[in-house]
Amino acid sequence: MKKLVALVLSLVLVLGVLAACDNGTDETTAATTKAPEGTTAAPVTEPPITNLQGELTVWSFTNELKTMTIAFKAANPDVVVTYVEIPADGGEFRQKAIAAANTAECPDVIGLEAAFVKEFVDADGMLYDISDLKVYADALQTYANTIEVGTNYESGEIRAYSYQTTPGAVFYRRSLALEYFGTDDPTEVQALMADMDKFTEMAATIKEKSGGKTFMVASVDEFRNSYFSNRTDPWFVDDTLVIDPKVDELFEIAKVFRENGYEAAVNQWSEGWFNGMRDALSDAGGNAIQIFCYFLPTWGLPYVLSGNAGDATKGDWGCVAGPQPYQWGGTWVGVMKNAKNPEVAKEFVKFVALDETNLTNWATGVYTHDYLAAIDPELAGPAGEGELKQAAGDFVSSKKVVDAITASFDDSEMSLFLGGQNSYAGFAAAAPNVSARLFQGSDESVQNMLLDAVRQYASGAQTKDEAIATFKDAVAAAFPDKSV
Amino acid sequence: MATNVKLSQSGHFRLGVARFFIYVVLIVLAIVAIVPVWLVFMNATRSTEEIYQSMSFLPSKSLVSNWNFIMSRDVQMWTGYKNSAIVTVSSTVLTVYFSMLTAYAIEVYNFRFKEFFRRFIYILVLIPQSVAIIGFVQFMSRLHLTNTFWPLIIPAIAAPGSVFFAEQYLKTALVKDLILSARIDGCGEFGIFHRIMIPMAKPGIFTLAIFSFVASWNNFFLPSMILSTTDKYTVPLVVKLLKGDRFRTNVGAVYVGIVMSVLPVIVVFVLLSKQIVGGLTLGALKE
Amino acid sequence: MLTGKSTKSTGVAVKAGSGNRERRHLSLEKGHVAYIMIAPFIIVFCIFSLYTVIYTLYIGFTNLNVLKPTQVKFVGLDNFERFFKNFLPKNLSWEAIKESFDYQKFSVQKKSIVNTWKIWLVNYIPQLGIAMLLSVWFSSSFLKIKLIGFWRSLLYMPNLLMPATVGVIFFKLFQDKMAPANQFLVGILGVWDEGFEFLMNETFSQMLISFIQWWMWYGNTIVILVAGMSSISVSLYESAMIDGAGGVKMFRYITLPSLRPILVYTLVTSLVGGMQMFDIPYLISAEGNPRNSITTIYCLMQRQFQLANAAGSAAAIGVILLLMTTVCSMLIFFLLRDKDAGMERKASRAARKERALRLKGGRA
Repeated sequence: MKKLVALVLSLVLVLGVLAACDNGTDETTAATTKAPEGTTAAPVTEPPITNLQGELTVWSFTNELKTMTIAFKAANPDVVVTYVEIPADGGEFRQKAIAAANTAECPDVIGLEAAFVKEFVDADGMLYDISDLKVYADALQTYANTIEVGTNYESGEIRAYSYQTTPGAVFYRRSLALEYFGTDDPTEVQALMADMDKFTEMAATIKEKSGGKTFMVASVDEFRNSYFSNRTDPWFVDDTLVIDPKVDELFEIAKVFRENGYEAAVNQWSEGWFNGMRDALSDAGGNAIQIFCYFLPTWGLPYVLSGNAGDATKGDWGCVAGPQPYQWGGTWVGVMKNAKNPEVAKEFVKFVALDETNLTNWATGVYTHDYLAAIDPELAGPAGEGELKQAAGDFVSSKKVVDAITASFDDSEMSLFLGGQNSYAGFAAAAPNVSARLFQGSDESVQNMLLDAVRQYASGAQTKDEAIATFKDAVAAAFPDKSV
Repeated sequence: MATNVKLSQSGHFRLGVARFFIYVVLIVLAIVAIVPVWLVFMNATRSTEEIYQSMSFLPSKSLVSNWNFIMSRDVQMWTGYKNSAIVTVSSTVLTVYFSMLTAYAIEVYNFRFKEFFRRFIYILVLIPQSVAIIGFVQFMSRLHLTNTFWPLIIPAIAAPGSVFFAEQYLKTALVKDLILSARIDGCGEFGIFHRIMIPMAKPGIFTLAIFSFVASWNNFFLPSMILSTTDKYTVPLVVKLLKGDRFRTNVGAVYVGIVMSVLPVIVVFVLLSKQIVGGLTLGALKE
Repeated sequence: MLTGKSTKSTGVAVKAGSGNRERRHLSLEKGHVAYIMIAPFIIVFCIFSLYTVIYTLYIGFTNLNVLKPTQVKFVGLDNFERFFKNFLPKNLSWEAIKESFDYQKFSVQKKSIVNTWKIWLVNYIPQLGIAMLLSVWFSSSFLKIKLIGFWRSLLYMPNLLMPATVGVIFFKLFQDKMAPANQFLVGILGVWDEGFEFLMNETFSQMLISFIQWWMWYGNTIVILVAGMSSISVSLYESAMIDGAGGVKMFRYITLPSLRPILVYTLVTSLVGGMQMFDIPYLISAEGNPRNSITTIYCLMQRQFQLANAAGSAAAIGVILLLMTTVCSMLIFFLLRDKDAGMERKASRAARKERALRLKGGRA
């Protein structure tokens, strides 16, 4: 029995010691993870792609990068790529990546969502410096804002690149524009909503002429990205919360829209929001109502708007830049600091985000299931909607590629949906104006906290000072390292 | 026991009223319990757009296409079932057996650190450990246990909550005279545990089994941290992968996945819960 | 040491018990077998769990940020001080004291404690009451409810769904003015003229969480209670009936006292579960909106850990949660200690005699 106690106690002690020395890079793990470097890596100087050899592990949270992985295999048959898709809600992906960063499981390449890309780029010791790929970005005229996001704020190192850029737009109902403003032409509609004052005037006109049956927007949530993209400072500067003048404007516009009934009080992603798209929305009392426009980014057109609009409003949509340029979402790719094979990993990032052929194929729908299954026979399972493929229409990060392929979208399905307007051309016009300088890892949550305060103020439950105080408390409680 | 008592006319009437009232309450509670579950099942038969646009109590026509969607995925649900079955069954068996054994030892024997140990377990139930997850994963990596099922199975041996339940349960269920008489009959200590205690504690054992099974089957967080190749993913992870299509997620297929993940638990629950009633009398009489 | 007071009575019983077979908590000798029996638990616990326990306790006193692990340093009680900042009135003036009881002026940390307790109590009291009632009905041989297995399975159903699914369904029911709940209340029943924004209302949001928790867990409590009740020896009831005891009396003097250990179990685990409530409030609003009214202590901990990567500060909240739960569990153990031991002993002695007789009969 004494032996047992002794055993238990010694275990406790050993584990205690382990716990104590666990902070950060343990020497042994650092050594094991760095060991393979150089042994399996390909030559650094301008690798001839087809000869590239080695093993590569890619972690991501969507099947987009999986498609890329297979395309990469076609170009680099000697590289053994293991793709791991990790289910990503609620920050699990982040946590898993952080946990793996200093262990033997550390992947080589990692996919980074807009919500946490900046956090990883700015952290010490997470991502590898891949600034030398910048030359390829320059050659492809990669939109500067995608590179800004991937740049570490202290050292200026570039640590992530993106294959897409996600400028936002405003999608409006052509028939309603014709009815209330006598035109459905995108240029004229854009002139009508050139800034927020004009946008508000439009809302007033619509309310008056429709007798309160048509609402300018679903809710003030729609404005969030357009206001947050146009601040001068990010949420935290030197670890202190900054409340930008744009925040104050958001409070006021929300109040105006709410009090005057310019918004339908339908939340983003709610059933009403989707119903408005196919003109099947009714208020709680069962009376039919309409929504004039939606704020959606590039991916919102094929994946959100067109599917839910269905045949009911197909062809009845127009696309304009809207009152303020903005940006929403996106995926970046980086190389982990402890990658076993950083050189091969860099080649992968280059292929995904900075390769003209790949980006063109990606955007124009070359990567069909048959195409991918020919490269990777394991994919050829039973056919069905769930199979891996990439449909045409994603908006890529290279201006050079965009310019080359825009015309090919003239008669695309999406252009038909927009009444003949080439959506790709519209996004191409909006893309360079978007600033992504303000990205921070904490954005989404801070913004949700702010929107709650905005709603409290707009509905009259709190005064503006009270609402801002509530917001500051919420931020202070969630971010113990920051001051408000 | 009630059979011994003769009921008067008014007694019958009152019993009838009471039964009626009870059934009304049960029906109301059953409806409340079933409505959201029903909505989930109905969503499995509907398309993404239908789900986005309204809720419905009536089935629609998309079950087959949702099913085909899942079946055409390159990560198969069946793999998930196999992995989940391995993890869940082994961890349930381990939890039930070792929790009962540990609780039995505490409850029945006199030993030096008994009280210390008993309190130790109570306290362990209380510690929220999620903050330590990153440290835990790194530690498992050092033991070369990441991307294996072991960190999901072996800790089931030391489940403080289950030991706590088993111990409290045994306080009610254990008849010590039986243990003593078995000992007099020459039965070994483990023999007593296996042949007398286990049959006697059947309701508790099956209750524990249900809880442990449900918790392990539905566990998402730890497997998602430990497993890093898709061929090892358990059911909740495979279902979550359906959302990896992001903005073009087939929500109907996700609901089919949810239904597929919940069906085995329902079957297991129905099978195990039948065993809960009347364990003691049976067990005691067998001896 | 921590549960010292609460288990004092059992401790005494154990010491005295060795010589007295009639004692309820009597322990049998041959203690060395016990070490073998508990060894697997201890060994596995030390390998897999002790590490995280010690780690959590340790980093609670540091400023560890998981993305800046190299900058970690020991900060003493800073994390705890920050949590309890503004908990007490600033001074002893009447206004300051009054303000310290005004929920709207609470810090988020203080709100999280109030929210957690409120949401838990509102869900748990009816949960235990209804579960108790249903378990008595189910196990009553007097009422002879039909299809018990069927009812019990139906009521347990909500517990089989993953919280993520449950959260989404309830969120969708109430999310805005056009949500299904509003369409039903306004469009069909005509309760209001216009949709009500449920989730902008603090009290409603809290009650919704309580309801979901109740909904998910009372089936579970029923299963536990039925398991406990079906293990009460039938002979106890038989002898009570011979003495002419009615249903209520039997419940009070046989069911409740015999069920005491199981009640302690449900109370303590539900308390622990309630104090660590996270999934459902998180799924209704990750930021605890509106105005942090559904931010529980655990939510706050997760938020600090996931958003700010502030593992140190989050661990400190975990430690505070541990201390609070420990104190309350001790209280439960103390309040529900073996007060009726005398009564119970009498009953069990009778039962044992009865069973001994039956056993003899069986063998012969």
